[in-house]
Amino acid sequence: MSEASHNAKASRSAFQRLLQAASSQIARHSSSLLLFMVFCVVIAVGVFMIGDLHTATDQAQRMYAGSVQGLRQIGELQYEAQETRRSTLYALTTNDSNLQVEYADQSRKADGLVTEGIAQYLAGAHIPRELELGKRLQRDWAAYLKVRDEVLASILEGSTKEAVDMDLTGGVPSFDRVRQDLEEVKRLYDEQASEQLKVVGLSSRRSVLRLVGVLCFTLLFAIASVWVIQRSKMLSALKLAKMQMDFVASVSHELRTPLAVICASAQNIADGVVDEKEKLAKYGSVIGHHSRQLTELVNQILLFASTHEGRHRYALRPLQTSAIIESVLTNTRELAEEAGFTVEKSIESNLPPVMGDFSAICQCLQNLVLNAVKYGGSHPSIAIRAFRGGEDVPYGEEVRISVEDHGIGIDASELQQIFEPFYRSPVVKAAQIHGTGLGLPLAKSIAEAMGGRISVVSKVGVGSRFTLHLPASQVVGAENAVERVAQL
Amino acid sequence: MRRLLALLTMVGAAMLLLEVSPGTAKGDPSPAAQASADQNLAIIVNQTNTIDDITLKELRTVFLGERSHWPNGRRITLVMMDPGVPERKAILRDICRMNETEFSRHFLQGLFTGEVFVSPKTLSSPTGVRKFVFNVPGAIGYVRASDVDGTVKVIRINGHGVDDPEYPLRFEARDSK
Amino acid sequence: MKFRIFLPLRLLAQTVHGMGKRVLIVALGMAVSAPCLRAQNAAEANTDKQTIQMLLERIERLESRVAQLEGTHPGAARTETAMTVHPPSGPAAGPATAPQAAPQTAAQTPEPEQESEHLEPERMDMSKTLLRIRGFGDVDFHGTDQRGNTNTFSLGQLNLFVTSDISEKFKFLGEIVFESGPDNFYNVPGGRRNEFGVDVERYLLQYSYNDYFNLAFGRYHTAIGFYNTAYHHSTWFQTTTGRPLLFQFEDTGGILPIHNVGVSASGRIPSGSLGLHYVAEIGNGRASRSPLTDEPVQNEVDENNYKAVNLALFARPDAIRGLQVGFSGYHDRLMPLGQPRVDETILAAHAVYMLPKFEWLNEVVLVRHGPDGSSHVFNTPGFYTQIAKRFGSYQPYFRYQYINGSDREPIFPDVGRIEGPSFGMRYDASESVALKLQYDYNIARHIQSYNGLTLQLGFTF
Repeated sequence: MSEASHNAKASRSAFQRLLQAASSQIARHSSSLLLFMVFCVVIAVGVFMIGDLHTATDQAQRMYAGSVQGLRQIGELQYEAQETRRSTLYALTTNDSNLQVEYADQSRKADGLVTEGIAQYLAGAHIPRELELGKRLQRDWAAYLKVRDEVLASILEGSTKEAVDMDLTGGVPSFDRVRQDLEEVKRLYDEQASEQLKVVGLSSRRSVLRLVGVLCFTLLFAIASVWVIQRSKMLSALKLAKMQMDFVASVSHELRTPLAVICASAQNIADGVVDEKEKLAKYGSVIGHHSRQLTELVNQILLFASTHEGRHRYALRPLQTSAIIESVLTNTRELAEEAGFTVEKSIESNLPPVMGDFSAICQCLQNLVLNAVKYGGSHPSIAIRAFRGGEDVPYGEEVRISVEDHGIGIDASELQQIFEPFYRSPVVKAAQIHGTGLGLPLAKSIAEAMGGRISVVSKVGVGSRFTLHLPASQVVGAENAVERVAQL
Repeated sequence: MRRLLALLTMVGAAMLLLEVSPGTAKGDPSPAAQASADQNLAIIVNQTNTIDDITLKELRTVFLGERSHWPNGRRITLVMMDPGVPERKAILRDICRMNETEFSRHFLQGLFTGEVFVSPKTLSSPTGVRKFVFNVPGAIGYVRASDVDGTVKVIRINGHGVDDPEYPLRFEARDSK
Repeated sequence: MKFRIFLPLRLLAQTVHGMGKRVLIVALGMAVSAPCLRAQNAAEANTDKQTIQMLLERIERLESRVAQLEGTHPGAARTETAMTVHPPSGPAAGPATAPQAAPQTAAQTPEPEQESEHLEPERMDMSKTLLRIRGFGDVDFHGTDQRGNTNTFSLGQLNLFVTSDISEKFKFLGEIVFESGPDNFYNVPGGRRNEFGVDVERYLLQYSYNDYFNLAFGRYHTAIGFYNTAYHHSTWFQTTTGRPLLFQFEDTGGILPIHNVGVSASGRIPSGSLGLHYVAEIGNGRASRSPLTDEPVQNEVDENNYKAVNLALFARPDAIRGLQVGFSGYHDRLMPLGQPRVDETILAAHAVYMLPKFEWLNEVVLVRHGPDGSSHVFNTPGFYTQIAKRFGSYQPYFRYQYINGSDREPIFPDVGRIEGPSFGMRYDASESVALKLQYDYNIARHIQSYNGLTLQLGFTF
């Protein structure tokens, strides 16, 4: 049960960490994301426009091709039908049997083309009216051909009068019917073409409206995006400028205070106000202490600058956690004692060594400890614990070193911002707690350089716990690291 | 006068006997000629014609215009090729037993007396003959067997088809001269 | 100064002198070629003129044709113009060839395609006919040693043989004959014998149902014997210069009713290889030959209600190609003026053998006239035999003929007995022209025998 709940807890915390990471990334790259969104919208609009244009072009092409083909089909039918009859009549104009046979042949060739054309029309008919018309045309054409055959036979036999009579009584009416059928085919085709034209026109208008709408939307979206991006940049710039001003103000104060003490002490010494050896030693100690503070502050600023620019190089080696903690405690003992804080240490046994730069890790932890002291509030108690990482660690083991205080705590909305350079919480500034705003960013960048991270859990009025996560080192022979720390 | 009459009668009888004598009349294809025939002449009719077989004698009556209608009632329209064409020469020789002049005169006289209703049609090529026969239900014509296609019907003569060795109508090499 | 003036002239002279030869040659050439050029130009001009003339004539013909069509079908006028412009699938305009001398009437031209939907379909020209005319004629020179006759050139009958294929079943046939002499030969003053007249010798509407039934309506040659229906009014078809005495035309003294106006039915009789044919006729019959000046053929009015009936039967056996044997029986009732009515019966039999190069014709006719109220029947027998054989373009022939009529014959007492041989030669100078030379020896009752010689040029066109 406890294992299950432990697993669930670990999953939730991992999910929360993922969300936090995503949110921070989004916040950091909001402009790029917005630009990417604009780009995607433009692409989508472009695809839509191309698709719409393509559809419209297809429709128009189909309509044109259909028109051309239909016109050609009808024209050929009408021409060849006339040619069939014409050739039959031409056979009457000559008494030469050879010419008569030739005209008869011409007439048959033409009627073959008409028959073929009607069959094609029937094959392509897709509405009942077309089918009915095509069948009627086929029937009437067959009836005319029957009369035509008899007329041709009479002409060739030499019975001209009979041929004329047959044509007048049978040929002319049946050809009339064929002609009317062809006219109806043409009318039907015209109607279909008009309807298609209307459809294409409507479709075209709709496409235009859609395109206009989409383009307007795209334009507005682009304008809005640009405005947002510009504003965001401006706000970021303003914020950065403010933070830099705050940093300058804070650094100035941090620099001015010890410098004032140093100057005052030096002035007193120089003025001979202080002549006793004990007092001189005391003044010297004060000057030395504040000089070290100044040096520490300058080093921190310089270190931040170098890490921010990526110029700082770390010497990674396996390190024992206990050694690190001991070094940190040693470096911060004086400050803690002066502030009246008690530091509780707890180191889990058999912790694996961690891979890192000893001085950098110590600097990182020192910043955390200093913050715990600075923001410890009315409960002067700090706990430093080192323990093995849980099952939620995705890649191998890790060692966690937490620094816990019972100070003023951090509002949940500021938990991400506190790691931004020069950021100082308004609560802290209102409480006139001075700082550079570089401690946590520096600690974070050091942790990330070591392949780890810093996590924070805090509650306003209760306190905060900062945890440094360091991946365990796989290097054998880590006992040598203690000797090296000791030498340093 | 009587002696003269008797003499003339004997001369006439002798001439008659010479004309009527059986055997190889002029124009009959000799067995030797048949044996060395190059091609057959097909007698073609319209596809709707019910005639499938005809004797040589009946064919002669048709080609001399002595028959005017087919059994199905359609008028017979005789189709000939141009004078001088080898096929026409063969037909005149083997069927009509006449030369060109006699054939023309026979039809002219037939039209003159009213016995022949329609004179033959004349076409200049086998293709023309074939197309004419195709178009006219009562037409009958002739082409070389190699010029026949599916648009016309070939009739048998004396029960022999155009591919039979005993088919009587042959177009011989000498007809082309 | 003088020299200076003359210097350019001298130079000119020298130049001209130098050029002189060349100029002379050129001038000579031009002089020679000028006539040729003129001739060529003239020839070209003539050719152009001829061409222009021909084109103008053609335009006139086409314009007149357009005007004619516009007169019959106003709507088709513009299509005729299109017809003359459009090539090769247009109507053939070749000239009529013999025997088809029909006037060339082109059918209505089909309209251009873009106008077809607004016009009615083309209709065939109702005025188009298939009239064919064939001509026959002869020119003779004949003479006899009979007293009173002269050697004379004479124009034979100019026969226009007209046919028209009206339909598959109907056909028109006519013989329009222009001949000298009036319609009736007898008792006509000699001067009138040189006058030309026109006769419609045959005038038939033929109906052919099938081989077994054919009808002819109009004026036809009576099917008595063989000769009358085998030879009509064309000497070119005949071997001899003239018809046998038996079959002389009525207006030249013939005793048979050569022509009849009525209906004639004919056809084959299904008889296998026997080749039987029949002829059955009914008509007005001939005039009673009384008076002799009347038209002998009753073209419009029959002198009585009795119709002449003729029935003939003949066979053309397949076994003997060219042989025809047959007989006929004719009966009519005549009403000669001032005489009792006469029953006329004519019996004829024939046996002919005709091949392209040989012919032997034999016919015998018996004319019986039985006047009412008399038991006596006047028989007039007659026969002829004719034989001919062709040798290339030459065809010698012989004929013997005989008629013996009683002097008291009620209808033709003038005929008497006539007989005699004829010898002749026919020479076909071409397919359309025949030259005949015939010698006749005539023996007649009551007159001295006489010789006759006839030279005849018969032709067809």
